[in-house]
Amino acid sequence: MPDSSRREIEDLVELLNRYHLTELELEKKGVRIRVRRDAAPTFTSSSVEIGQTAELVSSSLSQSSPQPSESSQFLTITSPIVGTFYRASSPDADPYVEEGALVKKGQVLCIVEAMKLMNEIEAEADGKVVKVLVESTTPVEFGQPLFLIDPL
Amino acid sequence: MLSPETLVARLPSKVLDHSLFIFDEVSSTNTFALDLAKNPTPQGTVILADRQTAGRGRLNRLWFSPPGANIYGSLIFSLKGQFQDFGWIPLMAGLAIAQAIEGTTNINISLKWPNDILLNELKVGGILCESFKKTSTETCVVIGFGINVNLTKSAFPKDLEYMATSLLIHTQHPLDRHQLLTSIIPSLENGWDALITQGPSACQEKYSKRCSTLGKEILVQFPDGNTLEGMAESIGEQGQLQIIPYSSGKEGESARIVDIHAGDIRHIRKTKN
Repeated sequence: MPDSSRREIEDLVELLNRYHLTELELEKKGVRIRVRRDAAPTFTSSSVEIGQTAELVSSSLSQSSPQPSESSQFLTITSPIVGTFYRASSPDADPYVEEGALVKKGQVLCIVEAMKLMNEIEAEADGKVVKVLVESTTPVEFGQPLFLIDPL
Repeated sequence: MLSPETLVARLPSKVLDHSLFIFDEVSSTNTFALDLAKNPTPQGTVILADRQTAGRGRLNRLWFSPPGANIYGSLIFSLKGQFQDFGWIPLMAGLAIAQAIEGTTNINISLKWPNDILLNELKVGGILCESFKKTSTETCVVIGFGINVNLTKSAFPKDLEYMATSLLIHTQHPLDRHQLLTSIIPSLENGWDALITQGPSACQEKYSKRCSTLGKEILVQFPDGNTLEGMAESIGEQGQLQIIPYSSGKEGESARIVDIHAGDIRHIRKTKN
């Protein structure tokens, strides 16, 4: 894939993330590029489609599947294990953090439970919680993004 | 009261190389351990209490913790680097404690997945494992346990009467808590060492034999409130419970196995030997 196409894809992915869009499409000189994020906030399932040739589609998938955590300004906190995500220590407790909250490095953001091991997930840097990506008490996969943090 | 002198005299020297905290009263041995572990703490540090004022289980559920009768304790461990078999830690802990109680009392102890400690299908003990990332390369794991030892039937709160028991209720005579502790603590340490060095194969087979959930019809209540009934089939590679739901397996289809990583399990009935 030409470098210019790759740059365009990366730019689109960045725009997608910056404005929390779910889909963005650009058509130029017969090349259509669409970046899309599934409604369920799993960035790993983001897809990139280019509508010109089969070759371009395959190379775009293998070489530049977007990793928004790399291309965006935000730090993505991911789940280290397969388990269940909890925003609070108990069903009656307030969430550890809300969107918009300022957090310190090391502050507990959530718990992921697996086999009754309650695993505290902490902020990896000082920053602002931009987005909570998963609903409390729902299952999460290994590596699934949980929070977006805007580092200070 | 727990006697520090008696424990120190009986515990193996390996355990005594570490710090040992014994409280008459503490909010929760796990809470104390987690706070302690924020600072440099020797691997294998032991915290014991005669009474907990805020004993807790999974999702901060209250753990009944009166004085003078039971065992409440926590051990602090540390993991360096990547550890693939995280999910086996709670299962290993259940097995280690069940083996220690059985070895000391000759009472048959089984496990409800992942690690409820059962005596005749009633809960005689519980385990709460908690972990946090201490540095970018070190994870701290606290294994907490509560065992109902010398509680009389009338001492249990009404809501626990039909689901919990104590060793005393079964044996009809009081047991020495120190003797149990001097078996449980080394058993947990050995179980930990074996899991870290050998992986799940160190405990997989023994765990499955002792896990009375397997082969039973069970009801799973998931953390989001949904439920699922099925047959508990096996333990997966990560320590997850694998069940065959009753909703699956239409004629001509092979049964679909569902992995359970978290949830409350209720044993309904035994379906096979």
